[in-house]
Amino acid sequence: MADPPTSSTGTIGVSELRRDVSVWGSYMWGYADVGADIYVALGIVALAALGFTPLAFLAAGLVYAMVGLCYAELASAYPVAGGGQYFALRGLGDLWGFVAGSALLLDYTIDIALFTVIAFGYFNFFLPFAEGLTIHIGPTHVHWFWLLETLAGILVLVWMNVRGIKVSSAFNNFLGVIAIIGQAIIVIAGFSLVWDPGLVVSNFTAFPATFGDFALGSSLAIISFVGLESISQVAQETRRPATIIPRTSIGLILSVLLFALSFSILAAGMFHLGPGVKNGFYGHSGDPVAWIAQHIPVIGVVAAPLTALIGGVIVFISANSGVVSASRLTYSMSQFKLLPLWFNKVSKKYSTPTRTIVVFSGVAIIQTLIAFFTPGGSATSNGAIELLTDLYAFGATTGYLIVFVSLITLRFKDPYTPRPYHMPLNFPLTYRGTIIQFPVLGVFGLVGVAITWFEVILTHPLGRIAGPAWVVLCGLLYMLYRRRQSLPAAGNVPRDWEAAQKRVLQEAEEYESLEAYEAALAERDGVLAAQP
Amino acid sequence: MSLALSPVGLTIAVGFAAGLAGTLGWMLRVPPPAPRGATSTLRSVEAIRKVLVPILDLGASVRAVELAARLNQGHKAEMLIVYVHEIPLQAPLVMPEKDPRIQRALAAAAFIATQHAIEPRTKVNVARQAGHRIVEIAREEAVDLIVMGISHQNRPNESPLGRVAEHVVRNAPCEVVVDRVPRQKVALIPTEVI
Repeated sequence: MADPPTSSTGTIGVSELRRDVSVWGSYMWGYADVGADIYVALGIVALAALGFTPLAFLAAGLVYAMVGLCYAELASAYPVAGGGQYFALRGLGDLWGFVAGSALLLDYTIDIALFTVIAFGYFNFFLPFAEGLTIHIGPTHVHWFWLLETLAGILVLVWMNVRGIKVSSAFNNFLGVIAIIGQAIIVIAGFSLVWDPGLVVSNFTAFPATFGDFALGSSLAIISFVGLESISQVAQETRRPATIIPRTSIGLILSVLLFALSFSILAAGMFHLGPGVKNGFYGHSGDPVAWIAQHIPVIGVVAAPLTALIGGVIVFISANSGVVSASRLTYSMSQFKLLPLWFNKVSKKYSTPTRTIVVFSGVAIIQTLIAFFTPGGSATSNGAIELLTDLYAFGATTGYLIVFVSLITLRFKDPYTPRPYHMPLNFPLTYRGTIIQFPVLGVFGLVGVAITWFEVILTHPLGRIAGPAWVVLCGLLYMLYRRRQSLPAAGNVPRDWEAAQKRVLQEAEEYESLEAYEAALAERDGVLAAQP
Repeated sequence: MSLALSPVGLTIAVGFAAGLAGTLGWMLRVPPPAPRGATSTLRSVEAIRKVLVPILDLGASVRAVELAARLNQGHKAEMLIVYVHEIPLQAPLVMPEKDPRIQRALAAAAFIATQHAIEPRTKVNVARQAGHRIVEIAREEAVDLIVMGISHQNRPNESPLGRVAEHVVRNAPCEVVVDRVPRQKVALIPTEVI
């Protein structure tokens, strides 16, 4: 059945989502996603980059910061749901918008599955009997209790998100504060009570990483920063997005970098970081923060349960932000006819995109089942988890790559939209009579992410097959849908972006940006009218 | 692990806490929203790129240069100072040669502008009626704003603005700011002292 017809602007900018997310809420959506990664990444990066671990995090942090600044510019200029998919749609057209959307959708559904599994792994610290509750089905060793916990956890997330952003935003805000305080206590206590600067120097000189080790370590560390784009996904529900999003993005970049660098430097001053068994994280790559906390005098007695609790909490809210991001992304894609309009339906009672929340959480449930029923050891070490992690890396780097290209393209195609925040380091160019600010740092970011993307393709055997396979499969469904709707499969649906942009800014009450946009368009029209 | 206090470690811990608190504190201090219409008003004033200050005498007119310079602070608009020498119908319409009164007025006006880091363009024009010439200059130069200073004294049956300013306000193609200097201040401004 064909979708109902819409105006030439479609439903661009007509938001049925409530603007309920405050400055702290916006920050927490990003922190919920990115903040969890250090719990997973620190150990594996330390085992790869050895004595150069802090430098690996620093190198990764630089690329991460550029991605963050890129998103800060685009999300504050185009404060609508969809994030990277919307930016690609504006800059590169429908097809690339869909490719970016499908890559990010892969990320968000895996985010829900993977992080809920890991969260309940942490919570099971308090339920030691859970480890023994398994069943053998053929060659598969299924942790049925853990599986049920995970499925229940995903259903709780669905319920909260269907109830509305206010409910889940409050949930995020509360748990996020606990997580930040807990992490800060570990860092401060570690540096104050046990950190040895001599050991940092000793690790650096005695266990230097080779170029290959460092490249591997820094690529793993880059992947550990995935999730910052969640801020842009809730842009359409953020109050005064043009003002708030640049602040929360920069705040998130700085605070996550602060935590990542602090934890890595702390680790280098507490443990030997040699190869193999000489590495303090050998055998503890799965719980590196808890391992650090256990070794801090005075607080060490309570550190293990505290870290398990914090780890579980922060990873669970990361899964929650995956639900939000997936639902907002698909809501946006359906608005622009990249997905059927069926997904565009918003609940009258709660003003939330109920269908997308339910459907894509369902996809996450399927991914979870695959993870638990795939032959292997535990749910955190089997092949399916490895597959999910690989896909996570592939989806993120593919999405970021397209977003950087979109940033550069939009500087040329749409210089009139006011950007409350510009990525630093711009070079003025005259393009078709208009002065364009060419983003030099954007090009550096593009190169940095491209290197990471190649590293993922080269070093992740499952990801390089399953990742592109997902995008191709989604692409085929996209072509089929567009054909049935009599829409151009590879071309663009005509849209009045200017009217849409004005409406978005009007709805967001961003009058400063709106008036600047109207003035820029009037100036452009005046120049065009004056031309012979 | 045993307790090991390190001054460097304590410093990093304090730096970490201060950095985190500072980052979050900065982020949470969101500036107030701009009301609808406020920013377009700001932008319309910022958009002024050329200001004309007509000089008719050494008193209130020169004071207008100071006002125009202060209005222009930080906006880098070009300032054009024109001495309009009104010549009666009975006399030939020729440029007076080195009139000390004109030289003095322009020197004073230019000095005031340079005090505000503005390098003005100055010129002298002759006209039968100053108001008409000022409007013509505004059109020729595509001026965005005219700032005029007028003294308090009026001739009988003249409008409160006076003959010249009245014509400029009615006919100028751009914004006009007229500063009518009050009686008390007129006494403080040198007018005819050469």
